[in-house]
Amino acid sequence: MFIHVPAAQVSMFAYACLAVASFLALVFRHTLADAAAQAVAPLGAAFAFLTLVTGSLWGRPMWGAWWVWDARLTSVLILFLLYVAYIALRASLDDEAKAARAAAILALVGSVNLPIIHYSVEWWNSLHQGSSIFAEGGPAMPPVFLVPLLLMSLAFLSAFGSLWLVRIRGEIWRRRAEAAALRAARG
Amino acid sequence: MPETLPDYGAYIWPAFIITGATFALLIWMSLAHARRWKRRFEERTRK
Repeated sequence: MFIHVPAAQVSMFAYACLAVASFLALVFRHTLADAAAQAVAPLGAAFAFLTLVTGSLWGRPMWGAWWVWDARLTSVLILFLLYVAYIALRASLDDEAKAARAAAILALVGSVNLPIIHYSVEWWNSLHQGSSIFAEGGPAMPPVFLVPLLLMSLAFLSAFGSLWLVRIRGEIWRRRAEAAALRAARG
Repeated sequence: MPETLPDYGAYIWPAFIITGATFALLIWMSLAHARRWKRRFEERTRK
């Protein structure tokens, strides 16, 4: 629980960041927003992967199955596939501007999945437990579990933020290096 | 508290190991990516 829940929270937060950055890049042609979107996708994919794997490892002793085609599990799998599709789309086109536009549209369309993930346990019958932290009437767990869980969420969020900044910096260096190579080639 | 708890360790330890490995890979890849392109930029602008 102390890994699975923070990983799930960060994977969804990362997608929200991807969608906002893609919107800014698509509408305002903001270069830094495009770099931020490109940098966040592998991180989001990694956290979605962790969510699926740790959930599966906990599902086996709790439900007796590694995987069930439950609404929550399936919508998180779709989130992971959206990240993979975003990365693949950006890598598949030679024209970087076209790839960025196509991937941004994909990211924005895919953001519909975020409320589906959140409300999946309410909209459909699900093996997955309902919301514990944001439950009606306050958190549905004692402080002995809630406090470490919130600390872990904060730690995961900090790690995500730090890694995102490092990746954005790397992406800016890559663009500068490629622009310098282009200038050198033109003489 | 029951006398014998089920062996949840068989599921929890792999989760810790996979999470640790994923974090290590993410940190290494992110730092290597940033350092590699910074070095290339410096090489290309030095010439």
